[in-house]
Amino acid sequence: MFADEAALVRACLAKKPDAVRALVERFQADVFRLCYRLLTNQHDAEDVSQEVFLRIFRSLHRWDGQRPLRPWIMGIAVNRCRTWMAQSKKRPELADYLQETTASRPEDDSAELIAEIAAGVAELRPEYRAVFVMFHEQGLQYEEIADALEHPVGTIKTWLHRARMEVLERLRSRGMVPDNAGS
Amino acid sequence: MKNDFANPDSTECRLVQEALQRYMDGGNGDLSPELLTHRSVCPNCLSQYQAATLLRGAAKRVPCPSLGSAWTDAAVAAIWADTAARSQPRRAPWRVVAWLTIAAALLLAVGVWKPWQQHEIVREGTLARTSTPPLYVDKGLDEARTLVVDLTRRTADGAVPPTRNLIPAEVPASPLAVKDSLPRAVEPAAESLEEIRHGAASGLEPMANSARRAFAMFLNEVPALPPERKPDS
Repeated sequence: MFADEAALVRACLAKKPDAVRALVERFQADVFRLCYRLLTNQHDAEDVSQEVFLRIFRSLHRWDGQRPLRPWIMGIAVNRCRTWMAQSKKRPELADYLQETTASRPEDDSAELIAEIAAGVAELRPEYRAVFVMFHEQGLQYEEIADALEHPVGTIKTWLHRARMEVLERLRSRGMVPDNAGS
Repeated sequence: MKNDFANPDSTECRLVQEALQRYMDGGNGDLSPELLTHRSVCPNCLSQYQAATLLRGAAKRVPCPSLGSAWTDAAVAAIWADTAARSQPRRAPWRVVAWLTIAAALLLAVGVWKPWQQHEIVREGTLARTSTPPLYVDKGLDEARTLVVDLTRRTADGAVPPTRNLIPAEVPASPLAVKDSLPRAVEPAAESLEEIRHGAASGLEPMANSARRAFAMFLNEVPALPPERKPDS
């Protein structure tokens, strides 16, 4: 119905109910996943995701139609998560995150690997985590991530490189990689 | 203890790691024959590559809770409520703060200006100009004069009746006749004069006090003059 982002935004600015709902439904999964990865708590992520969409519609008139909508929305989500974390003054509850992750882990041979990856991502610094999630889970490109986080592409590459190395180090230290690999 | 991952001092390890990052970016991560040989003999590079292979394949499969339609309904309702609330004409908080600031500044200015207005500022031997209420000397004098006149009239009115008692009711036609008739009235007259003196004194006393107070008021109203400076000071 709203294949074009610009048309969708125009309809939202015109306060068309179907457009508002369409925009929420189109981006809610990405926004929630990013919030969940950053906050590591489902309830917090749900609350912050709602705040994100409130912010989106408050500032939708300032969106530059020449730029893609998704990184702009992801940038708002990251900023809201930062604010939330700064206000809550508490560290991410890793135990809660792991518990929920374990409860919903897939029933296949890679369950342990996926759990270790999730735990490794949860231990990353927030900026590393955001870059890792946006790149590996949401498929954003370096330029889009840089646009969302308002940092140079070089910085984003450095953060993602370090995030990968930390996760890889965790996988290896947890024995996910066989010692006789390649032999 | 296992060795660390790529050794930054090793050129081969660094090149393998760069290829690994390209592989993680979605590329093929192809290596030259020399680097392939290095990776096969370097345990760090090999385990790193295998871990990267696992991570690349499983990163998108990390589970995440999903949002239900109830959350979507609540979010859309919240958006409409927020939109409606923001469309209401209301004063922005910064405007309220601005008005409060202006009001506080005015109050502060009046509070500072009033005392300053009521005090003289004498600096460097110069009588500073002040904005105290103007002192009207003639007004003070008028009040004092009216007061003195009233008191004098009241005192005089009180002194008239005893004085009239000294005057005979029937005045003789000739002065000699008066002289003849006076000796018997000398003693009572002396007592009456004493009474008059006391009456006048007691009558004039409030007048004198009032006049003194009026003059003191006048002196209080007159601004104090700065001390004279010596020519050589």
